Amino acid sequence: MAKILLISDDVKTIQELKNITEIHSFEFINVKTYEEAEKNVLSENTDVIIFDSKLKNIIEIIRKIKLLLQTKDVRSIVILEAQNPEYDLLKYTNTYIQMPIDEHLYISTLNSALQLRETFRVLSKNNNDLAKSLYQLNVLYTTSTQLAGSLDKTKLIEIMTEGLDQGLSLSLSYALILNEVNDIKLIIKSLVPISLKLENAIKLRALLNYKNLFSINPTIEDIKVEKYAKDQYGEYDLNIFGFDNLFAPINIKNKFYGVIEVFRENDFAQDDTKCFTTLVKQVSLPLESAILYEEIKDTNLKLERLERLKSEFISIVSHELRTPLTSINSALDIILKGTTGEINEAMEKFLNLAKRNVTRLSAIIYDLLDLSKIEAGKMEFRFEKTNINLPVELVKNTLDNLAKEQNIVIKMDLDKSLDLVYIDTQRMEQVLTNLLSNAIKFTRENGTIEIKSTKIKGEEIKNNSFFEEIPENMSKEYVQISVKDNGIGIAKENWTKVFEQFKQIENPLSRKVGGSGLGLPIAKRLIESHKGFIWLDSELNKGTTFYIAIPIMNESEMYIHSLEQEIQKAKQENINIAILSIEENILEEGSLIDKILSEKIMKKTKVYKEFEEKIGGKRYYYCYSVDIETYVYDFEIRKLETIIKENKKESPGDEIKYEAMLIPRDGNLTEEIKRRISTKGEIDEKNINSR
Amino acid sequence: MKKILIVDDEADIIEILQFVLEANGYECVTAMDGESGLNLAREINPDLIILDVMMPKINGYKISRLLKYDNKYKNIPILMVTARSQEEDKIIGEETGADEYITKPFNVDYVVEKVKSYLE
Repeated sequence: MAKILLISDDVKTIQELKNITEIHSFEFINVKTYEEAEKNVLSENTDVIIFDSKLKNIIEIIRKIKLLLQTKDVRSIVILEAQNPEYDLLKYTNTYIQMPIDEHLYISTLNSALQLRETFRVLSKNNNDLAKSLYQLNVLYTTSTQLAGSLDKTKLIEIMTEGLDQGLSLSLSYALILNEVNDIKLIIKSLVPISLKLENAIKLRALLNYKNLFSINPTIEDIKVEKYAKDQYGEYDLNIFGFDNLFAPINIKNKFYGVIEVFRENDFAQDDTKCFTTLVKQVSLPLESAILYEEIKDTNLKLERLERLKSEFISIVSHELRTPLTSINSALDIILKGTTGEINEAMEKFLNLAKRNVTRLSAIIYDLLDLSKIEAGKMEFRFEKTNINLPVELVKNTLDNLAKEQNIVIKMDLDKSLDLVYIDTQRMEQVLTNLLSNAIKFTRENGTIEIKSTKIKGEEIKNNSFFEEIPENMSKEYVQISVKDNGIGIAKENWTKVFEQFKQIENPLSRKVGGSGLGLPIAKRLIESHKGFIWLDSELNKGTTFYIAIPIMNESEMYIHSLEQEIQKAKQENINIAILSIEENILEEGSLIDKILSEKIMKKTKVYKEFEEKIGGKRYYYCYSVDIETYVYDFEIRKLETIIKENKKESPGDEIKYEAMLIPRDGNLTEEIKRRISTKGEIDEKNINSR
Repeated sequence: MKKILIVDDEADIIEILQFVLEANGYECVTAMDGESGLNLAREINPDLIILDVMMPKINGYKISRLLKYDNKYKNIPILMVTARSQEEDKIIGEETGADEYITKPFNVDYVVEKVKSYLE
C-alpha cells in the first residue's frame, strides 16, 4: 500500500484529504510541523509527500525535506491556494493540486506520481548497475596498472586489497600470506577498528580453514598480524562473520602462497564476485615475477659476495706468504754472501737456484696481490699530467743491462712533441717493465727490440681487427707506445689469450723464462684504468709488437674519468651513488658529462631528481658543477651538506660520503679553481654538530 | 756500541735480523710481542727500533705512536716492517710517525743500509 504523507496544520485540508486518500486505499499520514515531518521521512518509507502552501516558511520546509530525501525516490506534490496561488513553489516540487480539491483530479495526480516513481526507480537501478560496473572496471584497470609496476611482494598484496576495497566497498578484508616457513603474515584491513577477540578469531579461522594447504604446520603464534582501520570510531566484533563473504586462494606457479577473504555488510552481487576473482587472479602473475626477481637478486648478491671473498682470500694469503718468504730469502742471502763461512761451487749453484725461485715466488705473490686489488676495485691511482716518454726512458735504462747480458739491442724512437697525458707514473712503469722484460725474455740472443712513441687517432684503434668490441665514447687522439721484438712470436689464436688470467700459453720458451703468467692480464687492467688500450700484432718466428694507447684528455675529461672509476669502485662495494649536478641541464643529452660518462654507468647511477630520495645504507654523493662562479659552487656545496645532514639525522646508521667537483666547460682550470676543485667529505656525527 | 731493539713475533725474522745486524757491529735486544717490546724500549732507550706491524697484544702502529708522542723517546728512529702494501701503510704511517717503511719480502742488505743511514 502506497504511503502518502501530508504536511499541513490546516484542520479542514487534513480532514478532506484524509477522507479521499483513505477511500482510495492509500495509507495516509499527517504531520503538522517540519520536525515531525523530518522524523517521519527518516523512519518510514514514504512514497508521496504533499506540502500545504499555507504553512509558514513553506519554501524552507520543502527545501529541507528534499535535502533529506536526496537518495530516496519520493514524489512531491504541493497544494496551491484557490486565490493567488504561488506558482513559484512548483520549482521545488514535482507537481501540484489546487484548492478546492477535486477528488478525481487529486487521485489521478497521486496515481501518476506513483507510476512515475516506479519508472524512475527501475531506470535508476539500471543506471546504478551500469555506473557500478563502470566503476569496478575502472578500479580493475588502475589496480592492474599498479600491480604491473611493482616488484615488491608486500606492496603487491597491498595494492590488491586496496583495489578490492575500492571496487567492493568492503567492511573488512584479510590476507594470509605465506612468505617463508617462519614468515606468515596476516594483513587485516577494516572500515572501523577490530576487537582483539575478532583478531584472534580471524587468526584461528585463517589457520583452521587453510592449514591443510600449507606445506608446513604453523601454529597461531607464527602468524604476524598487521592491521589497518580506515576510521577510528566504532569497533567490529565477531558479528563480522555474519556478513556476506568471499574468499580465494592466491597461488603462484600452482603453489599455495596465501589466501584472501573479504566481508561486506550488504550481500555481494554476481558482478561483485566477478570483480573479486578477477582482481585476485591478477595479482598472481606480478607476485610470481616479484619472487623471481628476489631470487635473482639473491643469487647476484651471493655471487658478488663470492667474488669479494675470492679477492680477499688472495689478498690475505699473499700477505701471509710474505713473512716466510722473507725469512727464506734473507737466510739465502746471508749464506750466499759468505757471512756464515765459505761455500763451495756446488753449494753456491744450488743456493742461487733456490734464491732465483724465491724471487720468482715473490713476483708471483706481488702479481696476485695486484690482480686481486684491481678486481676488488681497491687499486688506487694517482693520475698526473706527464710526458709518457719519461717512464719509457726510465724503464729502458733499467732493463738495458739485462738486455746487454743477452746481446740484445734496445732501440728507441720517441716523438719529442707528444702531448702530455694523465698517467699514474708508477703503474705505467710497471706495465712498460712487463712489456720490455717480456720482449727481452722472448728475443733470441743478438736480437733487437724497438720502442717507439707516437701520436695516433682514435679511429686507428677502432679499425684495428684485434678488438671485437670498442667502446663508443673513445677519445679523439691517443699517445701510442709500441714494443717490438724479433722473438718467437705468438700464434693468432693466442693473441687475446695472453691477456687473460692464468693462461700462459704453451711455448718452448715460456717454461724456461718462468713468470707468474699474470703480467699481461695485470697490464691490460692497468691500461684500462687509464681508459687506454693494449693489443698486439705478431707473426710466428718473426716477432711480436705490443701496443699501448693512452687517451689525450683535457682536465675536465680527466676528472670525469676519475669519477667513473669512483663509481665503479662504489658499485663493487655496494654503495649507492647519487649525482647532484649544480648546472641544471648537466645530465641532459649533449652535456659534457653525458658525453663522457658511458651510457652503462649513467643508467645505474642515481641522478639529481633522486638525490633527496632516501636510500639506506652506504651512500656516495657526487656534486658537479660546470662553468659557474666559485661562490655559486660554494653555495651549492653548503646545500649539499645540508641535505646530507638531514638524511643523516633521519638514519644515523647510514654511511654517507660526498664529493664535489668543479668542472669548467673549456677544460682549463685557473689556479683559483684548482685550489677548491675537490671537496671530499665523510659526514659523521662529529662533523654534523660542528657545522 | 749502538743498541737496536727488534720487535717481531716471528722468531725466524728476529734471528735473521739479529745475525746480520750483529755482523755489522750493532748490539741487538729482541722482543716477541708488542707489550714487552714497548716495555723494553722504555727501559733500555735504544738507538733505533725495528718494529713489525702485525703483532699480538700491542701492534706496531700503536707502539710507534706511543713512543713518537713521548718527548723522552720521540727521537729514536723507528723502522716499520710490514707485510702490507706500501700504499696502505703510507696512509696510516703519516700519523704513527714511523721514520721508514720496509715491506716484506725485504732484502737484508737493504735493511742494514737503512739502519746505517740512521745511525751513522
